[in-house]
Amino acid sequence: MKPTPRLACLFVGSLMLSGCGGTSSLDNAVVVPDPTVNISANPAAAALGTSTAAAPAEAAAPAAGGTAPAAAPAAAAPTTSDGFGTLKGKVVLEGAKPTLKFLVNKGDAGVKDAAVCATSDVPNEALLTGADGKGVKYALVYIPKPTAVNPAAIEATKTAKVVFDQKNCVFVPHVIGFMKGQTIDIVSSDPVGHNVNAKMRANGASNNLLGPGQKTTFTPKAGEGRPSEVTCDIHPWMKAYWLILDNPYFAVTDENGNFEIKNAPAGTQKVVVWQEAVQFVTPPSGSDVTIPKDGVTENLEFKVDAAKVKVN
Amino acid sequence: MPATEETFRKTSTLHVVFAVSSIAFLGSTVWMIAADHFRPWKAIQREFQAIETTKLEETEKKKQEELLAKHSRELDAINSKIAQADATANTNGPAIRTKQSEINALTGEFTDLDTKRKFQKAELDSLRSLYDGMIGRGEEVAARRYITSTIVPAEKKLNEFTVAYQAKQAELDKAQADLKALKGNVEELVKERDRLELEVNRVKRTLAEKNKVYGEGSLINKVAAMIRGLPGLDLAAPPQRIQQISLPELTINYNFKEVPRYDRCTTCHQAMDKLGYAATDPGNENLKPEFHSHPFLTHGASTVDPKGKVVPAGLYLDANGPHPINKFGCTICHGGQGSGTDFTFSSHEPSDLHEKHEWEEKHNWHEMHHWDFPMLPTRFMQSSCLKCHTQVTDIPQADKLQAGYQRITKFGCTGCHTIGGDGASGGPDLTDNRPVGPSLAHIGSKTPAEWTAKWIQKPHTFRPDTRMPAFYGLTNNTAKSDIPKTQAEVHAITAYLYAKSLKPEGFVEVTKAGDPEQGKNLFMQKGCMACHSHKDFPASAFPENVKEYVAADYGPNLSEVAAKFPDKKAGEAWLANWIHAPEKYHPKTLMPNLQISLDDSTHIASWLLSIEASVPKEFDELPPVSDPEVSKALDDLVSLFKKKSGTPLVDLGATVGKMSTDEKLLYLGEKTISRMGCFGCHTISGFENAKPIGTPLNGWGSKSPTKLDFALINEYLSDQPEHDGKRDGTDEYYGEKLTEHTRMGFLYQKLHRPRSYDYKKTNENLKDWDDRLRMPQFTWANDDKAIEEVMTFVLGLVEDKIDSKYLPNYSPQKIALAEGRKLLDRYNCKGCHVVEMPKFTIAAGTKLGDALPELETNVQVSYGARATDYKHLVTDPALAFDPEKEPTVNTEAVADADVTIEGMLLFDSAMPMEEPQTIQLWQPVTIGGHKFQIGDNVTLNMAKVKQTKADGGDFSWIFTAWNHATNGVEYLSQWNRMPPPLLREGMKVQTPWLTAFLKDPYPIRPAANLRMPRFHYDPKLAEPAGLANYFAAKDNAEFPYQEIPQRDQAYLASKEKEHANYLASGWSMMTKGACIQCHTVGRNIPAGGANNVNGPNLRQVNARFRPEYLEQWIAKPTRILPFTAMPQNIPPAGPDGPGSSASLAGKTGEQITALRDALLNYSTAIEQSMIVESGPATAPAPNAAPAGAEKPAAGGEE
Repeated sequence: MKPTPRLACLFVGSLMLSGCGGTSSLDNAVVVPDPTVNISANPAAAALGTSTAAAPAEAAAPAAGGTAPAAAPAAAAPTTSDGFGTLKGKVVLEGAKPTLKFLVNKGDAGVKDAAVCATSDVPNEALLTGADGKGVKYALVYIPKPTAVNPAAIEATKTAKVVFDQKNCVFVPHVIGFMKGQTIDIVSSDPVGHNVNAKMRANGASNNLLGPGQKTTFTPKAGEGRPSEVTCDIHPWMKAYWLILDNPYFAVTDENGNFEIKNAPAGTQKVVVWQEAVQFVTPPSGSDVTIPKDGVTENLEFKVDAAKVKVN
Repeated sequence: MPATEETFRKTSTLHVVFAVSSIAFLGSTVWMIAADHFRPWKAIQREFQAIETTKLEETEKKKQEELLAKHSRELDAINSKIAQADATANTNGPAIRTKQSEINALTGEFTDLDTKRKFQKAELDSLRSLYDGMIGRGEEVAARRYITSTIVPAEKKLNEFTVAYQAKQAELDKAQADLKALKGNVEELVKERDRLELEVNRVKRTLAEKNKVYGEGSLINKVAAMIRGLPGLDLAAPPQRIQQISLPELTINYNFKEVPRYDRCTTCHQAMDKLGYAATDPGNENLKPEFHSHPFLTHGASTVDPKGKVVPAGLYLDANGPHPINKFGCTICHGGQGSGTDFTFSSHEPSDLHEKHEWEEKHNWHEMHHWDFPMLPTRFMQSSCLKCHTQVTDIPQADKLQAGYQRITKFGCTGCHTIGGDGASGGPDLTDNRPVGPSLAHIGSKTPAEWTAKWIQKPHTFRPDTRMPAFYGLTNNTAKSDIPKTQAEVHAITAYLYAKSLKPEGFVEVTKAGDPEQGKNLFMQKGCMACHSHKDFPASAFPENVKEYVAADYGPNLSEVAAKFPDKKAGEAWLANWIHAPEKYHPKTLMPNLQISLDDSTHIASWLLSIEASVPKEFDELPPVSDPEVSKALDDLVSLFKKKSGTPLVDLGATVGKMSTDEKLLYLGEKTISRMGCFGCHTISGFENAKPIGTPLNGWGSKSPTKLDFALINEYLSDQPEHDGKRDGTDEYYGEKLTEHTRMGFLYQKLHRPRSYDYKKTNENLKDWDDRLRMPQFTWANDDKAIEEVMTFVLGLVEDKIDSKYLPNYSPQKIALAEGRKLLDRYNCKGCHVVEMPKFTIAAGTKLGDALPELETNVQVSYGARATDYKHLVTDPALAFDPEKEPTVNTEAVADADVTIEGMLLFDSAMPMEEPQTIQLWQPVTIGGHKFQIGDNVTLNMAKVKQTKADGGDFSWIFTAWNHATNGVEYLSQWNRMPPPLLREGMKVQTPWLTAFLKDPYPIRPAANLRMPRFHYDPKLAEPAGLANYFAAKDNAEFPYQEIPQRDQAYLASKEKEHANYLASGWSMMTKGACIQCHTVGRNIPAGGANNVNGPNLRQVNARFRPEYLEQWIAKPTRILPFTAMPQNIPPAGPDGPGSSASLAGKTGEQITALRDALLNYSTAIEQSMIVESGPATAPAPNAAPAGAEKPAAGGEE
């Protein structure tokens, strides 16, 4: 379609990257922008998404962009008779949130590469909740086997730029999703070496050294169907998760646990919710969710049972 | 004295006698001939000959069909061409005749010319020798003249003849070719047809030969065979004849005489070594068992063909295999009377009652009592392997024999029974086997005497699977009058042990109390479950896929261990010391030193003791010594022994009366221990040099049954009620074996109810108390499978003299393998280490896409991964990579043979096994034409594959799965901290290093979950070297030493020429790159504590790694250890390793080599780099710096 807005998104994305430093609100890197929405037209909204917890980043853009976000691609796409809708909801914690210790304490000289890694406290991102203490960040919501796929959704996902950074010995962002055939950038902003040990299954294990400031790319040849752990074995506290699917229907929840997947096939779909601290929130094969045609799922909530939290 | 006509007897009477006896003689001759003529084997041969002929005819037909199916068009073409050629020849008749006569003429001329030429050549040679003579004599002028006058003309003449001869030959060749053409080139066509029909003709020829011998096929054959087979005439070449294999060196011991062996088994078992007669071959459904061929005729072994290639060979009977039929015959393995040609006389032996009854009915079979070596029944077939394969572990295929060997070793039979060591008898030398029981020298510091006494009385009640056999409560000491005596003995043994018990030296005081919760974690984490089981960790507590690994029984089950200690505090102190340093209590213990702290040991101890023991009530049933009956029994027994040791009867009462109870107990205790042989398994003070008490088992397998005391065993059995066809657990088969007084029967009963041979003999008039049988009863006495394992081994301990040419002639490699297998079992290495990964087999005939739902993706990813392999390290063309090529695979294809995938299932507790599972490969495998390499993943549909458990690593499997499922620790990350799988260990490590490491293990990977324990090797046996050699031998690597050419001066000099400061630049890459983030390199020590340091100190690499492996490892670690955390630091396409020198820039392959060489020359590399960086210490004036300092290794800056 139109190249300009995409470039603009990229620009905004990279701006946000460089602008937000070591703060934990960098989930924009996995933004799957709606190509029909001109973010650049409303930079304030984009800025809002990164700086406040008021609106989820993913939701921020379309909210700012207009009332019929999916209209244009839906019209252009060869669709099934069931049509498409939006899967929207929230992942919340049920029960008391366990306190998680910092992975690295600021200024701890005993830590490996302390000069780089212990410049600030490194929180454990295995279970983060939003301002309300309920919404769970970094949960993955996806449809492993959708009944139909909207080409526009593929296009939107594949053209989004995904950057996986290592900054002050933290993988940024902690959880990303991308598609088979989509190339992601793996970069290191650190002056020390890291290794990106992605324990994938279908794509095989990949474990490469990423020297200071080095960059590389990765293009999966296959969908994984479940999240893969990514570690840096040099700095054992560094951990991230990649979800690689062969379809574009996935989302990472924002600070408040909100997620939104657009152009999802209408009808009953098996939706999987996964969160690091409890692994599968739904059964691994998914729970049934009915997505209304040209509509939005209402009051969809997935509960993470605090009693099942395993963090090590 | 005048001659007289008178005879002593009446002549006419004599005539009659003579006539009658002649007739009788004739009659008996006829009878003899007839009897010979109708011997049963002849009928069997006739029957087989008919089968064979039919089979050959079928084969001929089949081959013919195959030929037609394959080459029918070619054959037709050839045949028609031949016909055509024949026609041509007919029409060319006159021309052919003319040509023929022309050829005849030419041949004459040709021969004539040839002769002339040869003569001329001889002439010339003689002339030349005259010339040589002239030169020799110095007559040079005359010689020169002679050349021109004589030699040159002669040469010219020869030349003329040669030219003419060659011309004639050409002429002749042409004429012959013309003739061939005239005949239509028929000869070549015939040759071509023969080539195509080769196999058919071969079968035809065999059939014709067989027909001639057997009298089949034509009438002439039939008549000829009939005549040859006529009684009296059948001396020459009868159609049926005895076939025998003569084995002059494999003698049989006929009491006092070793006689050659003649095996005539193939007289009836005609198809034994013939292909196509296996029971499983198609068309053999109705073939009688006697006509089946031997198993493993074509596979099971290997041999080297004339070209030096290793090819499969038949394990048995194959002339190229290890047991060729003509060298070994049959009875050397099977036993029986080889020269017998009758079913019963050859001493067949049924393997079960069904078979027995069938034979009795069909063959009128009965047991041959006067042949000491009946055939081995199928169930004990493996016994005979032991005759030659005395190592046992050299033939892992003989599973039952191995199991028997292991059981004997494990349960300590050798504590009482000598096996081997006399140098004469067959079987292994087990005299070095370690006593299997714990040391009792310090028992007082461990358990209370009360418990010990109860344990001696009923060990199986406390711990049903214990190795300690039962000595009491058996058939010969459970009579009412016996019980107080057994109780007195139990108390006496205990009293003796405690009186002699010393405090263990080196036990330390435990001051800190243990924390049971930590202890429970440590019990799991530190690998206790590699050897022990515990009721708090039952198999059911583990994920489904590892349940089968939760079965450790190398050490005792520790569930009820708390009951063994007087109280918690004392127990904790003892257990903590034991766990911390078991050798302080028992220097020869098999429990290794786990290298864990005393605190951790205390935690574990405290947890073990916190689990309440549940002890069955009957365990506690033991009246005290003060009990009047027991005390009386004590007096009686003391009197008995005093009497036996010579105290006069009159003094007996007074002597015993003077003794205190303690004295009596001590006295009886010593007598009882010595009688029961407790010291065979336990260290007991005062019995250090006692000799084992059991019958030596050397040669037991050939012991004459007449030397076995069957006593009243048949009465015993018949007095027992029958239950399911068994009497007291002895089934009818062994019951009959006992009735027939066979070794098998005796041995079975001895293991099943050892004391039953005392039946009706316990009366004191017949046997004194101390003369009763002493063999104890093991916990597996009711498990026939276990008993038969042991029997298989013991029956194999025969005293046959085997000529040395029959003994296996093993390479050092095979010897190391056999020895290593024993050591691996002895120290339970496989409790922690994986030796072979699990296998997943896709059966032949399965559609690939069904078993491998993501095969296409798997192939693509696998192929793509080759992009990061170093080309120069990939030697297999099947693993080559071309970025332009896309691999293809047909998922619809069907596996034409079983595909075995060896690797690790990437376990995810959240994913049910019904979902496709990913296997990370540990061995290459070719699927659908694509070769997957180590480290590639394949996705399997578990319903379509057959799984085989891993060999070894039980603890690692259960811990990784458990920690993943319970604590959410990522599966492969956990594997990185486990005892490493030992696949490719021989390729990896230098054998001397492994030897030293086994003796003195140090922490290699600081972050590992547990440490390599320190084992208590037998100092006499060089066991660490044996283990190290085993791994090298297994991987076909050189041992015990290998060359490291990377340390040669010449090699380093040539490298130095290419890259200045070669080793220093390797060092620089290590110290400036990522290596130091995980590895200690020189003074660079990674921070973060042991828990965060995954990599070994690189100092040890030069002694540890083999060069080829090291290079592969640095180049791409996952191709060796798929789950490793070590990244590929320098990919082939770059970027360069940080710190690599200018001359190495861009040459990633050489950077890897430089790293390898620096590691292998570690100290030289350090030295060189010190000089490069700071110059020699005695550097001259600062402005004349050494050349090296001018160009420090490049890439120093970051």
